[in-house]
Amino acid sequence: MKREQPKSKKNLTKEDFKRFHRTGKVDVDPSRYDAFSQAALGGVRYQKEDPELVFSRMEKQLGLQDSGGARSVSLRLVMTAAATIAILISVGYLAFFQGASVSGAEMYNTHFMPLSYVDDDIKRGTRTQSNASTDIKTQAIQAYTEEDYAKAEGLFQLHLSQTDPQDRTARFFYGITLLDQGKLKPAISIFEDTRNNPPVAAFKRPATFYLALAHIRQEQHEKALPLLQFLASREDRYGRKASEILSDYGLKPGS
Amino acid sequence: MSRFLRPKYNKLGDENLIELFKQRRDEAALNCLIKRYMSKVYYFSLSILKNQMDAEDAAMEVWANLKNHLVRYQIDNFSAWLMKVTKTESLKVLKSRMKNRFEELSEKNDPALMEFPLFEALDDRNPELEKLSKAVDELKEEQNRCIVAFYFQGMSYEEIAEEEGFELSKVKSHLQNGKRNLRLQLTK
Repeated sequence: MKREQPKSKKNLTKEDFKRFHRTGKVDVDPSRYDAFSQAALGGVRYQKEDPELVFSRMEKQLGLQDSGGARSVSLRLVMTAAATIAILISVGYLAFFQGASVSGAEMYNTHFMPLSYVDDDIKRGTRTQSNASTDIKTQAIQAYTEEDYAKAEGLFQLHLSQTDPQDRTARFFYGITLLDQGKLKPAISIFEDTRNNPPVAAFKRPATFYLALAHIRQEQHEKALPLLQFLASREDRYGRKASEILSDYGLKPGS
Repeated sequence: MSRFLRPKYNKLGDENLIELFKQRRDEAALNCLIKRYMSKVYYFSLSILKNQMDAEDAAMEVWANLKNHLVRYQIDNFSAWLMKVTKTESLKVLKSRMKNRFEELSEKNDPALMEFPLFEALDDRNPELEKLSKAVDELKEEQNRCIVAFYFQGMSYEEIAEEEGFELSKVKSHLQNGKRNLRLQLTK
């Protein structure tokens, strides 16, 4: 992924410049904006005409709109909004399920892949198969393995609240059950935590993958892209899947 | 790309939009990029040229060349690159504007011709033009308005007097003082 503007610096938008013109003053702290925005502020005092007219004229010349003028822009916006509402009301449901609309949820459904539960307690020998067979965690794993995520969520929650709050492996899989059910905010928090402090190193990449999926489902594509680029740099199941998603965005891995 | 999955352009970063354009000649990605920067390019150009029409011309020149630039060059930081290109185009227009203005003044044998700093430097000292533009911004308000109107916007003394509501003698005085202050600024 190539270098982006530092996130802390803001961009001035067309709306900002229009507001400066309308109010006759620059009501922002220039130091909070990127270098380009700061340099552009120097032009505000020399703008006499309504900037909307200038932008409309330029957009028209560049073929970015059908006709010029502030009035026609407003009218077009109103008409577009009306048309959109009409479409949503009349055919929205059908269109959504026929794939005519694009959503993070669709991308999520296309690319979600289950992750087998790795019971590291058993691997480490701190828990045995026999005494584990009836406990809550085992039931949670069973439900998770059978992809009954709603049931697994409740059981993992019970395990984490009552049996072992420090079981970070179970917490990660609990995150996957939340993700599946669209409980994105807590899922993202769990994946971020797992990614930063994985219980075992091997969990870093799956945590990154599910974090990217959660962002996609939440329509925060900008946040998902760097994670996908990170994953795509390696040739494993997460790397291959990330490359597939990037290709759906029309991007090449490493671009 | 799957027909079901199209990128949400306004959520993509500059580099992603550029990649989409380069790989697939995706005009929608290019348009999104232009819309994102349109106001900044125009206003930055306006800060240099101090003339709306010239700034619009310079901005259009930037956009007209963008496709070729994107295809020809590997651009790592689009915002910084675009700022540089905007500055170059604006200085080109400023140079041309100044040259035309001095030719007009020369025809009228106007004394303002030889008194204006940097007239002699127009041919080969572009960095000085940028310095001049900044020095003009730092003039007192009345001097700034008269200098900008006379040299950057090509207005006559009478037009400035009418537009700004100054006496004709005041316009000349503000111009005279403005030129002196500019010269002082530029020789610092």
